Parts: sequence; C-alpha cells; structure tokens
Amino acid sequence: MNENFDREKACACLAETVAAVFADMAFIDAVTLAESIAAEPAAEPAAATESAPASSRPGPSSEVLERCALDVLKPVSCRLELALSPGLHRKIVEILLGESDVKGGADDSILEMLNVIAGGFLTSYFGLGVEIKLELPRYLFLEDESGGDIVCSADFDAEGERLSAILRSIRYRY
Amino acid sequence: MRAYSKALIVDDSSTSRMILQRCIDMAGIPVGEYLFAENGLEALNILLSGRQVDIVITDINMPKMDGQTFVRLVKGKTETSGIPIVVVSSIAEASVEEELKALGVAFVVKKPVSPQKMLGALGGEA
Repeated sequence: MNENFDREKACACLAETVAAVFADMAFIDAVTLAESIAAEPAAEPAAATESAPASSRPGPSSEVLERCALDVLKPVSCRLELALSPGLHRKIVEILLGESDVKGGADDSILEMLNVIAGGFLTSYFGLGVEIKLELPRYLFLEDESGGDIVCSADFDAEGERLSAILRSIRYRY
Repeated sequence: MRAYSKALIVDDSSTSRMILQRCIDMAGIPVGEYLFAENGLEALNILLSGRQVDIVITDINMPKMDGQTFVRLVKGKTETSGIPIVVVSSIAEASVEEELKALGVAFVVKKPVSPQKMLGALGGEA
C-alpha cells in the first residue's frame, strides 16, 4: 500500500483519535482548534502550531514543547508525532500515576498514549483487518529528528495546555 | 467471580503496567499478588522459574521479545501451556487476533483498557 493519504480523512481521524484517547486514558478534554487543522501540505511544526490565531492558542508561545514520535511500518510508512507542553505532561502524570514528578518511570506515560493513538488512528483510517506494524514510541530531543512530509496536523487546547498532533509520510526507510 | 493468586502483567510501558493493575483492581477482581515483566523474555523466565502464575496479561508490541512470540513459546511448553493468557494491544488486527486465539489466548482486549474490559476478560466464573 502506498503512502498517499486522503488528507482530509487523515486529519479528521487524527483529531478524533487524539481527543478520544486523551479523554479515555487521561480524562483530559483536548478540544481541537478548528483553525489549526491543516489538511494541506504544511510547513514544519513551528509553523503548523502558529496557524491558529494567537488568541485561540493556549499557553505561552515561548514555551518549549516536549515531542515524541512513533513510526508506522505497515500498512503505510508514516510517523505520528505529539508535541505537548510540560504542564500538560505533568497533568497527565498526576492523573495517570498520581505522581507530581514526571521523571523516572513516569516518563513513558506520554509514549503509551501515543502508542494507543497510533493504533486508534490506523484502525479509524484503514478499518479493521489491515495488518499493522508499529515501531516503539520514543521521545524526540533534537530539532532535526523529525523527517518526512507533513500529511496533516492538528492543534488542541487541552484544558489550557498546548497539544499538537502531526502525521508525516515517510517515503524511504533503510 | 474468579480469583487469581498470582497475575503476571507483561508490558514495556510502566504506565501501562500500572493502568492494567489499577483496572483489574477497580473491576473488583481478586488478585493475591501481581508480578511484572517488561518484555516477553523476562515474562517467560518468570514463568519457567517455577512461580505459580495463574493468569498472564500481556502486550504485543515490546522490545527483546514481542507478545506474539511470547504467547507461542508459553503455549508450546508443557509446563506453561495451561496458563490462561489475555492479550492487551493498541492494535486490533483480525489476523493476529485469530492466530492468538488459535494458540489458546483467552481474550484479546484493545487499548485503552478499562475496568469493564478487564472484568469481561478476567472476571468469568471460577
């Protein structure tokens, strides 16, 4: 199967899945910022998160977001990324683990949510019965660790905190 | 409702292991002791060490040894083949689910888990 996504469908599935997983797993309302859903080829995440009007974007714009990614190998070669504020990360850890410190074993809470989002998105987009193969989720620490063309992205207001989801098409794997 | 003296939870995510335990407890399923493993290899070693585990709850996508390989090995060994296994996964792939059930996996639960889902998978009659 090739990696030519139906961008509008991918965007809708991505936004719905992220909101559902944040609600079901972390009991956090992640409201899609309608102006931010990008179904056209978009620039890199910094520009994508700037697409929503400043007045509707939560959190300070100078905040450094935490980023994680999960590579999908089948049925298409792509990558799902989440970018979230440190405040949102802390909130999730407190809710899921009852801890106030995100260090140590609490760090994989976001990775686990990304894992569930990936499965939910792929099932939502491709339907049941399709072979799915995922890599393990990981944090991104370097600016240039992301790669691939952005298929779609969506920004969310997660109870006053910033959250973005990005789907990239990865054409070549060696 | 069925009670378990030892439940082995297998998942590379510490968050997921904690959530699974919490959901089982919230479902009111009696478990005497929880054991944990980060991957299939670690879990297999626990089972082969002689500890009397009477239910395994395992993820699929894990490093070192994935859940499918782990299930095949557990079901292929005389000393462990009778242990009931529940698979918990973020992907609901029909062919994988068919294979797992053919191997003898009791239930396949799709993440995110909930007390209701765990009650359905583990809470049957004794």
